[in-house]
Amino acid sequence: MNIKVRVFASLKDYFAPELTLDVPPDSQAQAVLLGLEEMNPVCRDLLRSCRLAVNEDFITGEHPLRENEEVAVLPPSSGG
Amino acid sequence: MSRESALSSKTLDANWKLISDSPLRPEELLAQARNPASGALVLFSGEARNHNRGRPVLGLEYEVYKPMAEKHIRRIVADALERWELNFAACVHRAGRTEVLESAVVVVTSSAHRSEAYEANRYIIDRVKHEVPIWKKELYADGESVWSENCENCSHPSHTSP
Repeated sequence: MNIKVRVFASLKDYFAPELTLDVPPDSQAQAVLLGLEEMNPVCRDLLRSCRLAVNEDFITGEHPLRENEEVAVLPPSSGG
Repeated sequence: MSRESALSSKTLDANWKLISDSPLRPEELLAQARNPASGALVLFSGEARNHNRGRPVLGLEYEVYKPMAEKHIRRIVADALERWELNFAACVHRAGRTEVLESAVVVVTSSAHRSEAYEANRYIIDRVKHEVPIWKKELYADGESVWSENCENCSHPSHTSP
């Protein structure tokens, strides 16, 4: 199934800001991180430091994905 | 009535942009936070600084996931209003290119006595720095620009339990 993915900040050096990932049916959110890591193995450490969000709320890696859900991949914040 | 609307008289009204593409005006927030019942008003301004790790910096560039950042700033401010006896609390943050001598983030808190305003102000800025999806890029004088990793390796729970 297709998942819409948005990436931010340093991740945009490696990925398009918005992309679509094809993940197996009944995947959990961590499949998004694995999919991105597969596309760009050099990002492994960065991806493992990221958090995920759906509908502007943080989710865990166990969040069950639904077709066409939009998942935001957020590097560690550095505001302020 | 939601928790946040119940507290809305003690923070900026919905017309205020909590994420601003133009320079912040701390004096406007100070005016908002003034309250006849408050004997203390604390204003923190996080400023764009002209150096980082010993290197000259020309300015900063902030990337913000705006809808999520606004939602979480509102939540953090609401948490502070519930936790301390405050008459007012608010936080606004810059997006985009921010020059040296400009504010990157402003937090204001006011209360009858100073300890609540100080504690709540520190609580808000600490959570905003760690939890709100905002990223800073330092623009160095030599032309290099680098995404800040200033809290990537810290032990704040937001990084260890996603």
